[in-house]
Amino acid sequence: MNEEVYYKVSYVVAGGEHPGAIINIDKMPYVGEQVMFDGRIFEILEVMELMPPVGNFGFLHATCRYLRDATSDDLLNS
Amino acid sequence: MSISNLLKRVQLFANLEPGELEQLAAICQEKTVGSGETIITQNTTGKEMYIVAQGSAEVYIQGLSDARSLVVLGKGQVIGEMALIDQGYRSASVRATREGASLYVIESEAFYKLCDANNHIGFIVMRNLAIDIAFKLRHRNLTEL
Repeated sequence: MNEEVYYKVSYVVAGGEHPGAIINIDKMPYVGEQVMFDGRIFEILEVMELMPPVGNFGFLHATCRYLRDATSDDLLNS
Repeated sequence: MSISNLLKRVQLFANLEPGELEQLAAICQEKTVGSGETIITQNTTGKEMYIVAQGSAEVYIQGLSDARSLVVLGKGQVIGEMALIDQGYRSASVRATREGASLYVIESEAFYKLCDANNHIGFIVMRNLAIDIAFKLRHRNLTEL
């Protein structure tokens, strides 16, 4: 059976200047990946399992750092 | 993305059968909110929950003198589910972030009617809701470090 796997990810921003985000995604996040939420771009520094998987859902935690505010192009392409 | 494709990516509805997702899709209403627009107001009553289909929403608590941001909820997240369970006042306010948000709205009455008609949906959703709350608590704990 080729069941699709989805990930619920807790993004926590290092330094505490942002409350972080929770987002469901289709592909496992990886260190160095750039993600956008709250109109800003962040870089992932670490990925770990936050809770054991249930069914076809994985529960992950990603620590990230702020890189820059998103441009209008970033928002359009999101 | 179609509503069926979105709902199967919403953890609250994980492990529901395709036909059950279609029943849920039938009670969802689309809503689009612009940048900064309020979705939920703290200390008001509400009888609906929201699913973020696109964009994101900021959850924040309004204190006497200032507001404190708690989390940003993006695609696939559920907003306002607590009021659906306890019928209480909204515990926080929610507004669309800079990019705005596309939402699906589920009214509590329609949701409970569906759960009464199909207990399997009710059981699965309530179990997933407990997982969702645990996840949010763990996220919250990590932001406090």
